[in-house]
Amino acid sequence: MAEKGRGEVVTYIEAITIGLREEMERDERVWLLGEDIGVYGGAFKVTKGFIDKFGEKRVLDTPLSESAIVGVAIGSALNGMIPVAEMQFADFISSGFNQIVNQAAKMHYRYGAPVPMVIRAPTGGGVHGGPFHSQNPEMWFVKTPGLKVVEPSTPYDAYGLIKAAIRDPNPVIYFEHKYLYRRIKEKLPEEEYIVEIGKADVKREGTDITVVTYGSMVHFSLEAADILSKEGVEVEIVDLRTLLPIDKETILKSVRKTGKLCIVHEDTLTAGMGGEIAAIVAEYAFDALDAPIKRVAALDTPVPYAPALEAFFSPDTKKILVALRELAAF
Amino acid sequence: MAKVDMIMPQLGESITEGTIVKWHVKVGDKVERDKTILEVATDKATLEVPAPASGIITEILANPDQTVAINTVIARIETDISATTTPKEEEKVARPKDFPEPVHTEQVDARSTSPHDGSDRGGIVTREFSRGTKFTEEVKTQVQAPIQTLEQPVEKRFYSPVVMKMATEHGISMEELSRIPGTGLDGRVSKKDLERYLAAKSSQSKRPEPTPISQTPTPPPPPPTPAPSVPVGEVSGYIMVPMYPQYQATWKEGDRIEVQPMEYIRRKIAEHMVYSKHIAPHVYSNIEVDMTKIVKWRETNKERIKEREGVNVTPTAFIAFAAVAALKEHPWMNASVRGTDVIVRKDYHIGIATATEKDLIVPVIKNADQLSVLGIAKQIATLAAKARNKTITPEELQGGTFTITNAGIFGNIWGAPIINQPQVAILSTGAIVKRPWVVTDVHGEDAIAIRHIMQLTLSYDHRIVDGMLAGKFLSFLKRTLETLKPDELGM
Repeated sequence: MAEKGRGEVVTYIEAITIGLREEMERDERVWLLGEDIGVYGGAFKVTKGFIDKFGEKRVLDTPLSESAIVGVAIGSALNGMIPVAEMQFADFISSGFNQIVNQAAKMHYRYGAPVPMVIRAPTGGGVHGGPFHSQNPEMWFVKTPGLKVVEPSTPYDAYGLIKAAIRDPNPVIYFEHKYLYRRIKEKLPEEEYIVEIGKADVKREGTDITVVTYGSMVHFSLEAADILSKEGVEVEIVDLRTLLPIDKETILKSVRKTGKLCIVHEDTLTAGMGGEIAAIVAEYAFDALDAPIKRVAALDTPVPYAPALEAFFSPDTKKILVALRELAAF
Repeated sequence: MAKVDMIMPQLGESITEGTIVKWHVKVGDKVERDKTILEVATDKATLEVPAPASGIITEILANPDQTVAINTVIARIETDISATTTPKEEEKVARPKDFPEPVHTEQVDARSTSPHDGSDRGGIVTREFSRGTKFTEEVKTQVQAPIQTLEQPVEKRFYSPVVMKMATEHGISMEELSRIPGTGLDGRVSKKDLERYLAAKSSQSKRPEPTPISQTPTPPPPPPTPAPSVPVGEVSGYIMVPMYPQYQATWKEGDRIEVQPMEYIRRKIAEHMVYSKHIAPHVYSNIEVDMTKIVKWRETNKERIKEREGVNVTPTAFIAFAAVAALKEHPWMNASVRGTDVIVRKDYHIGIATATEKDLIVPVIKNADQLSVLGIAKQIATLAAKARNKTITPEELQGGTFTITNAGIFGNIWGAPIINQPQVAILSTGAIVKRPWVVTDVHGEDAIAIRHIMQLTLSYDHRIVDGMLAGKFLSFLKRTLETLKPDELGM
């Protein structure tokens, strides 16, 4: 099968592949490392064929050690390279946690040495992966100054953000949602582009309620918004795209318009992104609020494996609708 | 089926509502386009409203005595006579629908449970995301709804931060807020409820210039006592919420009384008079004017001019003419008070109080400073005729900057009128009567002569007009009238 590129209808995962390939073609300092990313082409086939095209020195299969992967990436970044490390599952990133939060995140602050690197982390559930293959660990990093954290929801953003992440002089954690990999398709523009880190995107305009969300929940929220639109309630969907730094301006602007806010994320509720956004809105737009701020998020438990339990645990269109209808009626 | 909505017409540029006086038709009646089917009272006059189309009345949505905002649908006319004329209620209540099928299917795909191809599991259909198909806000045609208020204020109700903020910004008191109907949870006033209320309110207060009868000057005066605030858009005002209930009329069993409700315009007049007396401390000054020269001139020229121009040049025309000259010399007499500012008006629009069958209305001669005595006379005649046969338009009743009222019409020699707000003075003209009068001849000799004497009384607002200004104004007016040379006025 021929390689897909810009100007074509591509899946979310294909958009990441295209972005990576273009960046490697553009800048030979860019190289990849991770578990099974070379010969096998990656657990999800993001880097399929890369080893043949770019050689094994730029597409490195590593041992099963996230700490080593991140450590090597940091060292190579300090030496002028631009590594893109793949965590096979975002859940495994904790094994490289110390390297990320104590080394990568603090290197520039402590030693004045920037570490331009990207850590790709396939995240999220809804795919019956159980407790070790379904988590959303973004908040471990959102509360770590020195990092940038992004999570695209569409092929357009996936392509534009992987390029922005690679070109950013800071360590960027790039969460890519497994559930969206092959479910979301979109035609990419012909022209090369970048999606700026730190800019949220209004995925749907509305006047009555603001939903702030990101990742897979963007699509569930859009579905809920379409249903509510038929009931005369117009929901505005703000897709954060970047979780750190947070685009306060776009959030506040939308809430000032609608007066009602619901935050939706697939991560568990407590100390999730929702709490942070609620605090921002309560602090800076209190006088714009016409209703209590609502959060729709996963239950505070590990991700269950049993499908019925996972469905019960996870936010979905139905749960979003319940919250939005309550807000509409308030 | 073709239905035409009949709306409350805009009965004047500053008129925002009308009160249904009487429908001449009922549901099922056939109507003809441009034939009167309705009488509407504004706070200025009662007007006849024609049907906007020929057909059959299928619905009447506003009842007599109901006050509705302009552009509100008050009736519907079926123009297709063959169609059914049964009134229809279209109910479009947005009901929450049953929940849609959840996106997550709870079905396990048996193909694989290996985490390494987890992305292929699950049952969601592929979704194509396309940019550029964003929701665009529909521009809803806003039919201006009338302001609605609750009769009883709601005492305990939650107000959200944004509602409190908007209320503060728009000067809505807690009392007023407590009367706004809420559509939110437990009757809560939502941001949208308040937006609707403010929109309706602002559309009602959008008046290009102050109007004499209903308009209160901005900023509004403090309420007289902690009396309950009056719902906007209702007829009620000071008279409906009496300051001193103990002075309300009472009667006992066996008293011979008859209760006659005031009509709309009478209530508005009453309200306005109470308001004017409340806001403006009235003072009165009086002067006697020798009108002999004008009377004599009229005796010899009245018929001639009537024949030529079809109009009676009345003493009032001369007085209005002279009053304009006096106003020009005394700018604060042609003014309004707004807060601590005096709004000096450079236009001279003279209201002439005119009695109709039951009411008193004040047609306004616009730009009277640009008219001759004859021109003023013609305007008075035209407007008075229109007032009496109810064809006067609200525009012709508003915008006055000074008012003249004729107390002499029934022989009274003077009157002390109430100022027509937001003006600051009103001139009352008494009857012109023959009096033995001391005159001084060219030799300086006094003699008693029979002269035509008229008393002019000026009521003025002592907030800005002092006795000296009023005195000078009246004496200027007297001098002007006594020295006018009617022969040189081009008649």
